[in-house]
Amino acid sequence: MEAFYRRLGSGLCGLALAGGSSSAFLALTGRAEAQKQPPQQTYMYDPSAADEQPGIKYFGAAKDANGALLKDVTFQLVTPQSTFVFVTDEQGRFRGNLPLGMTPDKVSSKCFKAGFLMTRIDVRPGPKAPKLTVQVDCFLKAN
Amino acid sequence: MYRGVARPILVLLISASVIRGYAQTSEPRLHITEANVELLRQRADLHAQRRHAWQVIAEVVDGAGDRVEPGFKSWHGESEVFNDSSNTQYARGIRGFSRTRSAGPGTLAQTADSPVLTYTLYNDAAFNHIRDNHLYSRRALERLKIQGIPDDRVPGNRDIPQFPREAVILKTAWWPISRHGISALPVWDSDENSSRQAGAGYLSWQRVVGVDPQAAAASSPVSLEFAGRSFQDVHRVSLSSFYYLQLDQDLAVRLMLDATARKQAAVVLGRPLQEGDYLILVGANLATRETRDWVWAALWWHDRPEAGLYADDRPFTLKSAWRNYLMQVAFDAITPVANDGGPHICFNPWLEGRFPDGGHGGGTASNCLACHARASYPPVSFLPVTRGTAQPSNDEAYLPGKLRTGFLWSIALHATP
Repeated sequence: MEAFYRRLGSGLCGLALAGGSSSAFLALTGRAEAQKQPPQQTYMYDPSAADEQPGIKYFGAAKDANGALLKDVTFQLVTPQSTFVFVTDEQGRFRGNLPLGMTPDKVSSKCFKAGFLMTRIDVRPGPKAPKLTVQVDCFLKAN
Repeated sequence: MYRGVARPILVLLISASVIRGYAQTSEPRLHITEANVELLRQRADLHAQRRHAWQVIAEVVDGAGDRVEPGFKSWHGESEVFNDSSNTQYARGIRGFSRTRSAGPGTLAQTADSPVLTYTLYNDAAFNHIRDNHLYSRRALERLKIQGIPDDRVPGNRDIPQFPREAVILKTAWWPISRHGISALPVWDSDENSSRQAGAGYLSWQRVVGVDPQAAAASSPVSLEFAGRSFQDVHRVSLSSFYYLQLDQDLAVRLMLDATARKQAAVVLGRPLQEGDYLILVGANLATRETRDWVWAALWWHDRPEAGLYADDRPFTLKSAWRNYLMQVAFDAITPVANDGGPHICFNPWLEGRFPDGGHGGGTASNCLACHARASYPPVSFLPVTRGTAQPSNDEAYLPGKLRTGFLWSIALHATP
């Protein structure tokens, strides 16, 4: 959803400019700005994005003992049907989609990275929303 | 083992013709006739089939005479095969690795599978057939879907032109090894890794070995961490136990542009691949177009390569590190029957082990040939994996109007727009 709103946000901005009480000049400027926007700032349906797929969105971050975000940390989520593996990006975060029904009580989670030991993992279901979310945060310390 | 006299004579004749055919060349010369391979299939003698498969493997991976490098090192990589341009120059073998699939943060985070770096190599006969018939292009597949030769097995389906008998394709699977320290490598033991509903990917395997680039030979055991688990008394092995290569900067950079390779490096090393790291060959699936359904062999590395059924019949023509690989083979989707009484099983722990049970058994109860028989265009999911006879009446892979892609998923899935 966050990617959806991020992409939708830039579209709403253009709409607000065009539809507000501002002058025609502003509306025209807004339209022109909207036309100049690079494609990634405009909402476009991307079926490969986790936010667009049916299922439960799992997301979270990995941190070291100092609270710094860690890249290249593997999150392993094991369900009765399959094993899902995600890796944190340059910002130390991951996000992905698990099939519908794979609520936290049915998923065993752990994280790891060579040279580190996992000290804690927090799994928190998100608020009730059209798309269910689960936040998984992992804490590791250097070996 | 043999129920009659005719069978050993046949096997001897076939073996003799095979050995005669394996002259010193960079290409496997499949001099055994299609009829004889078909006899091997019909007789369903697993040991005879294994002897044949080992001989072909020996030719592909070890070569003959004094050649040190395997023949497949000079084969065409998938990047060169499935490419619109005929002008681009590609290095041969894994060194030509190049994929356009982005390893950007979004892609990397959202792929959910246990990553294994694979790269498929095609010998000249397979490469030329795909390129000459434009089978790398969806435009050509669309045309063949309408104008191709009618398939004589699946009603309402058409076929791509048949591959020549000399065509050989090798799907290789690689594992990253740090140039410093000891890297863990999971080992698949058949008796300790039973079939699982959720699949049996390498993160679930019960044992690891430590690969030590500094060790000249197997040496004292070590303790290792892998995938959040601690392993004690880990068997330490040297690089020379494997077929391997060392990465230069250029190849390391190209590998890290690929989402799967990037993710595997993170899982194994906790960092991207760098110049000086190694790739070891942990598995390979070999397909030879010796019969219309191809002959399928799965190879994987093991630290106890002399033990068990998968070591049976290995010939002395296999040398050095190649003797450390185990093997399964499939000539048929059904025969010879598996130990559980069901259709024949042939899979690679590295490539198919992770597939979950979708109703026909998981990856460790699948059959290469049975799954590849479903390869068709427009493509369908290759999951769930299966074994036994095809079920055209309730499988979208056999819907009328499909183009059979000669048992090759690569054509169905990787043809360019």
